[in-house]
Amino acid sequence: MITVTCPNCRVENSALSRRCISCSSELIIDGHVRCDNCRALTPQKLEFCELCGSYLFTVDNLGDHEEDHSHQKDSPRPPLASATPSLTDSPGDDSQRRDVRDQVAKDKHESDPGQIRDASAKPEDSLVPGWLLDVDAALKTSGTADLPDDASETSVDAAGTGTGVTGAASAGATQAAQSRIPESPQSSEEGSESLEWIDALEGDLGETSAEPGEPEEGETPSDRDQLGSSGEKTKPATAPLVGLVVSETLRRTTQPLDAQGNLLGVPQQLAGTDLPSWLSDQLQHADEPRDDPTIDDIELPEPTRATILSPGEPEDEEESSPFDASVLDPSFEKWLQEFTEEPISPDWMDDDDVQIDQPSTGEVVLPGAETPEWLHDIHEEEGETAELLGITEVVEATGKLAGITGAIQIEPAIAPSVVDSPFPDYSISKEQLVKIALLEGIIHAEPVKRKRMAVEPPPSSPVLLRVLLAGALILVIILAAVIPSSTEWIDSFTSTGVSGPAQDLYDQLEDASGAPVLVAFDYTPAMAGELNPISLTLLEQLAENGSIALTVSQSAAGSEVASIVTEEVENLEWMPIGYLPGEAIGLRSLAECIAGAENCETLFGKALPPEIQENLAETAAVLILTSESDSLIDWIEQVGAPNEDAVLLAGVTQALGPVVNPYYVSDQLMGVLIGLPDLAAYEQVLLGIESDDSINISSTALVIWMTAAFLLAGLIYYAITGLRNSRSE
Amino acid sequence: MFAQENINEISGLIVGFLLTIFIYSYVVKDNPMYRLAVHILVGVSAGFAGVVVVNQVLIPVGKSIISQDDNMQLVLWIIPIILAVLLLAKLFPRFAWIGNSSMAVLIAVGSAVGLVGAILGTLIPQITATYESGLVTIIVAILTVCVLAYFHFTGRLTNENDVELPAWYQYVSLTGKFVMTIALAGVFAGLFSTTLVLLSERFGFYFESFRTIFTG
Repeated sequence: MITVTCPNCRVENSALSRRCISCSSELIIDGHVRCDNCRALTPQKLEFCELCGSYLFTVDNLGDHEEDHSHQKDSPRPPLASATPSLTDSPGDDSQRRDVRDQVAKDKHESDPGQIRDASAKPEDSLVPGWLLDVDAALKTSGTADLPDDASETSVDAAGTGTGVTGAASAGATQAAQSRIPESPQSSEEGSESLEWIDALEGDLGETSAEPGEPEEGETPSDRDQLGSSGEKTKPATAPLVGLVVSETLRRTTQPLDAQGNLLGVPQQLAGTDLPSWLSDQLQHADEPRDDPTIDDIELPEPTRATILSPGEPEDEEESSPFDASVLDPSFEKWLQEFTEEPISPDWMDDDDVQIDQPSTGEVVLPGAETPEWLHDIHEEEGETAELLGITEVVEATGKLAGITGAIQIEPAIAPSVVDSPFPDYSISKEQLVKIALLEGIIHAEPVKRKRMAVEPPPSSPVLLRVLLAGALILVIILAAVIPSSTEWIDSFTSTGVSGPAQDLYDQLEDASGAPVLVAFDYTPAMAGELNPISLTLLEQLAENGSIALTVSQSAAGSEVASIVTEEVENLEWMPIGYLPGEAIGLRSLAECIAGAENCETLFGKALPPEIQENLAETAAVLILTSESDSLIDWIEQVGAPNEDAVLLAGVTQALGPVVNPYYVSDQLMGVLIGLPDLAAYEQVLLGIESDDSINISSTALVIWMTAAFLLAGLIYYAITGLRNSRSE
Repeated sequence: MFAQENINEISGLIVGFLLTIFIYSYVVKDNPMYRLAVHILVGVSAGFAGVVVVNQVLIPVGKSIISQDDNMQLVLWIIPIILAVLLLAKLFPRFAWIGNSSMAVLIAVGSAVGLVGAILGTLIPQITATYESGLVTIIVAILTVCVLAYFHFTGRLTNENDVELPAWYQYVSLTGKFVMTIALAGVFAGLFSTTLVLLSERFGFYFESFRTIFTG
């Protein structure tokens, strides 16, 4: 790797570096500086990099800007790869230049804190020599200036070769350099402006750094003796002028050497030292054309594709990548080899104590440094303290810090170890148990959603069995109707006696002969099959007795049934009251009419004819024909109870038999006719009538006997199977 | 004329017979014909009741109000008429609250009348009659109490979370259960007998009718 020695602090830097890593002074390689962006070498005079076009912040550029600021407007930035170096070019931002200038001054101050500079110091108090100020004044007035005798030995390399005088004055400044000063109008203008910024610096300018030229072989700098016995390289006192490139005018006019031939600004420690031979030779032969190849002599390779091509431009397929080593330009390759060759270091650099590593390509090698003793003392104290505290230092075994003790363990800080903690034991309280039980109950109590399925009737007896039973019933009925003699044997098993209630009914109706009888038809046509025969029989008895039948009904259909039935009875005198609404309330109002005719002009809002009113008031009996228990009870409660003298008679279906008996026993009903069997006996015994209903009675009896047999058979069968199942379980 | 009456009678007979068959088809299972017959029965009954109410209640009441000479009677009719009109609001759910007063009157009066009738017409007479009947009455009373005791289902909670009744109470409850079974069986028998009578009467009627028609 090619390295460059910093002229200020003598620290070896990478050739690709722009500034010294130690003192931040600018590294100039044959009048070229490195671009911070692309690391390409660009002439120092240029303000923009030739390769990438980035702006090069240098002191020279700052001075040029100051000089040309009055003449230049906002000039556009030169295009890439075609930048024409011109001192008149200047960037448009003055603030950046000031910032850089300040930064440079700051760096210089920091690099040499021992040297106190007074920014407010007057020029005469600064390091600027007085002869320089005189020259400045002369230039301003006449445009010419004679250098003092002291400056004769100085030489200023102002041949325009691009190699700036980096602070250290070239020995043996020639008359040619002096004559050139006033002839160049540009320089005169520059001189006046440059001195202005010099005044502004006031002491910031000190010694300029040494030209980073390569000393001759074998020659060691005399100031090497100033180095410590340990071979440590100390930063020379000229560090304040790190990276400061003096303008061309200043180079011509500045006499970096004092009267004694010493460098200006050189600390007293080194004031009496002789310049190194190689440096003095440099200064002497500053005007001589140099045979050393300069950067201009070398044909630089074409700019890299990456820096020239703007985004979006198609790449030329023929061009190869500059990073492809197999297609490198030979000249470029040769030039690059010069930097990759092992540098020829001066003899004074070949110190066994100072070991400079030759790292691999691309790495920056820092010279080894030894820890000062005071740091060791502190470290020992820390070690003792750690021993007292029981702290053991870990010696790093790997990485860059191998072999170093006391290094901060970064891993625990950035990646703390995760301790897997086991799950804590959990416990359930009593309350939680209760809640759990409740939730489980709710969950289990939820009905399971079932899929919709066709609605089917629950399983029942087989259809065939039901059909057979129904057919048998119908057959018996038809048989009895077709063959009446088939039911004669039933008569021997049926009772022909009249029941007591029936007898009482007969007697009551006989007692009510010639008197109005209130007949209530509280049944619908659906029950007409059983109650119509009863109604007809009783009405015929009333007709025979000469009683007047007052028909009334609590159902709308019953009133029509009443009209139909009464029309079938011959010689019956009857009066329709009609439909009685209100159920119990209506019967209550009717009961008032039965109690007295004077309160019965209207019945439930309906006006009653006078004859009906009179008949109601003279009602001897109330005959209730109904199939519903509620209706019968209402009649008993609402009509019978308020009127203790009222005679209530009932003709009901066989289903109301159990309901009627308690009221008959309690004498709330004076007579009851229950169903067709009672009717048959009533007709045959009491009335002496052989009606057509006998056939129905016989068939009904036969059906009832057959049904009873079926029920009995089923009872026996299921009882046996049930017992078997219970035993098997 | 005679033929017209015969046709009307025959058609009525046939329709009646068909409806009877439709109702009887429920023996097999529920079917649309059965439902049709039931719907016809309900519809005709409701329609007939409406006609009867209009003809035998509303119209005569209206005529009576109109022909009323006594102003006092007319004033008394205002309240029932207003209540009847408010009761019509029950047909509309949004305005059903308007008829609440009429319903309150109906329920209150009906409950009062029924309560009085139940007490004076059933409870007191029945109790009195039982008291005067002698030994049989006592037995009947005891059995009645046993039946009522059967409907008591509260008891002592055991350790196994079971309801336990006293032993004697269990026998009383069992007796009541037995008596109730017999009573319900008797009711069922009577009801079943009534239905059989109706069945025989209907089929006998149709049989005789068709035989008369076809045989003359």
